[in-house]
Amino acid sequence: MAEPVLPTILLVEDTSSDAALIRRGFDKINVLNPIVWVKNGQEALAYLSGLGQYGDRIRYPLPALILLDLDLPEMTGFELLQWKRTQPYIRRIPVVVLTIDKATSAINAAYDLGANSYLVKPGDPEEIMRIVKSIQEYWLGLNQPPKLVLRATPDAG
Amino acid sequence: MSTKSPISAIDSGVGLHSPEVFRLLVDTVEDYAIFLLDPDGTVRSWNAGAERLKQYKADEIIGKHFSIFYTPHDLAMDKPGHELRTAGETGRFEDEGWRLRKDGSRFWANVVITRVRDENGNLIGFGKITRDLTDRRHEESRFRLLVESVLDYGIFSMDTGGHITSWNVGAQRIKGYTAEEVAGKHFSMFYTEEDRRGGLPEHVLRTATEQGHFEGEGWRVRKDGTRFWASIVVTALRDEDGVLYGFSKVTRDMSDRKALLEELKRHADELELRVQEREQSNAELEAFAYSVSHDLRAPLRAIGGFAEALLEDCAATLDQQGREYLDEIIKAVGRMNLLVQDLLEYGRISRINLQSVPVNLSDAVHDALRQLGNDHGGTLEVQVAPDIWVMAHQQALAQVIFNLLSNAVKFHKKDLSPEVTVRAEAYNGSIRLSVTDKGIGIASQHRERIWQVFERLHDREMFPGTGIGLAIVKRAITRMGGSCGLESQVGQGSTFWIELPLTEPETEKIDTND
Amino acid sequence: MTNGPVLLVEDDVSDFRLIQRAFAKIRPTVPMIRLSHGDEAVAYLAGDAPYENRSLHPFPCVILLDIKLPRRSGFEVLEWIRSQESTLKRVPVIMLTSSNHHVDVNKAYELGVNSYLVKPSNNSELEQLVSTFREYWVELNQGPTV
Repeated sequence: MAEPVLPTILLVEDTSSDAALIRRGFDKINVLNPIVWVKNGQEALAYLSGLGQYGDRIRYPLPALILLDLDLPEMTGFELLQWKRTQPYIRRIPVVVLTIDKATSAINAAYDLGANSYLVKPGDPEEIMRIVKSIQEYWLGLNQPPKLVLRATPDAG
Repeated sequence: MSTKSPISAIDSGVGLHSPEVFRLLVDTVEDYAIFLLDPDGTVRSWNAGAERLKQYKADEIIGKHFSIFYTPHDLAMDKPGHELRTAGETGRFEDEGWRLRKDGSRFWANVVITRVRDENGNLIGFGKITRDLTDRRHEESRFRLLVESVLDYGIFSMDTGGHITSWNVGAQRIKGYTAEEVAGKHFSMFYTEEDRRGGLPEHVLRTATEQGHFEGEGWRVRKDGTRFWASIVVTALRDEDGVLYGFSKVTRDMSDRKALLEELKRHADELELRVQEREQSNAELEAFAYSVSHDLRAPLRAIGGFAEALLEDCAATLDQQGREYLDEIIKAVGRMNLLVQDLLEYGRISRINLQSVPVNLSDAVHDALRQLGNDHGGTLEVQVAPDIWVMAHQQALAQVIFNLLSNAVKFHKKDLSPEVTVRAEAYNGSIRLSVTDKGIGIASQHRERIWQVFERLHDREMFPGTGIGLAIVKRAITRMGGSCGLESQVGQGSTFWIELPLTEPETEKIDTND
Repeated sequence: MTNGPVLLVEDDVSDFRLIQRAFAKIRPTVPMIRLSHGDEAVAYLAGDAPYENRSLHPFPCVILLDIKLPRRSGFEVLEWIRSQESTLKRVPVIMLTSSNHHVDVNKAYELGVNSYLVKPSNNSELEQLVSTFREYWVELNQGPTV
């Protein structure tokens, strides 16, 4: 029995062109899941914590998957990963790092901070399509997501 | 006794104030008994009224103690002594009560005893005036008898100091003391040690004095030392001028009620425990069910998997027969898997906490439709308004609708694609969701059976299915407080319906910050 | 692209054979090591006897881990891995199990599993799973240095 509501994907990406390409990619393969796009780590934290407008969990439900760029203003992807693993429930949400940096140090650091997977953003837009398809097939298709408390009421702050 | 009239005395030249005139006055009064007592209560004089009232002649009574006029009950309470003492201390005593005549008959009397002192202030005796109120008191006496005889309530009176002045059968029954044992004693004797130390008796009287009465519940002590839970009312008694002259107390033994309350609490605690145990056993059952289903699935994977592998990898060595047999095995495994899945679902639906909340019906229908997909090749018309909300469990409802839709598209007529309509209507405060198909229909004799687990009406060749789908629907809907049913005609189609309570949507909290 | 074998920790012989068959079908082949109980898995990963020789017993690039295992459960193995001081704690671990019970799923994520897969009930789905798994974790995913 499928979840009644299609799970949300949280896209944390500061480069709008990259974000646009990714979203277009999902669109092209008919992914109907709602995609929420935030532009920095702080915003992502706010979303996950349910701060401010994000407290409305009907309009802004907790995501089933997070696509995370590492190089972000305000709060880097690493910092977000670090914060995320301290949060109950939220720490279960799978994070797929989707970033330019392919240095082993970055990769290792990401895994150390609890990233579930690490994908390198390709330069070629066609390759982005391939990645998006793979993400959809694996994370939205095959992978069994954690069961989060729906409409989790967050702690203030 | 002189029979001279007062007038004749005056005529004879004696002054109005002279003792002789007063004496004549007293002697001739017939409505009142007026007589003197010496300090210890011995009758010293007698008048016409006293003779009329009490039937004694002067020479029969003078020199006798005035307690002879009192009822045994009052004697037991030492009423005579109490009255004299009061009069001696305060100057006056007034009361109403029963008195006895010479022949033993009773009359209701109004009595005033006055202290008489000499010029130096020494007590030389008492004056007593008694009036017969019997006539007036007939109704009141009936009331008094009632009070006396009440068994369930202890009713007694106290003087202003809290000393007991009357006692009824109920008081004896409840507290265990006889009238003699309590007469004149302080009512705090019935209180517990702690309450006495805490000043509760005083507080009770004070409250009654200030507010007119005191009501409360508390522990009291019986003669044998046992405690009982009492409900008490103490009322301040005042005369026409509003002067306090005593208290009445009504006591009720609430032990039974307290015991009942305690029993209730014990039951509630036990229920609480049972609920916890049930929740725990539910959790265990759930773990067990999962364990079972997975243990059942493992060999199924092997059977199906190797049959498929055989079919694929050893195709060359298999003849037609062999391939057909393997196909059957694979199909059977598929059925078993569905069965395990459905059984698990049925068990879950029976067990989990189905808390109903407002659920949007149209959303639930569309969830089920999405789950159904489009492979059925039929037409599905949905006539459900988007703003209908029902009290349900979101996922269970979607499951129920899915099962109904799945059936509707499955049982279509041969060579005809399914045509299904989903409709929602209001029905006496509930919402009825109907799923109508133009399929093969169900004969009336089967309409009860099909809701049961494993009931199937057709062979598996024509219509696959585990026979649990409708059982799940019925279980889930029933547990959500709704109802379900069907209307059908063979060859024409069926309408399966569910009813759930209509409700309003939850008010969403929208943060107005940012 | 990650090199190195896939470590499959699976105690059920039938399940193992079917999974192995599915892996055997994909090209290029992915080397696979199979262990059948939890203690074995821990010894292998730790490089304890008889697995000290890393050229004979290479460290895996990704682990497929069943939950129900004798001697040490899949959860205990996962917990052990994530509690290691050395870099081995980073190795991607994917639960491959028959349970889709949310309690198990959540526990796995809490313990730090990278992904959770449910064993399908028929071969074609199994083959699909293996193919998708391979394409994602072996081809696409950037693994850590362990």
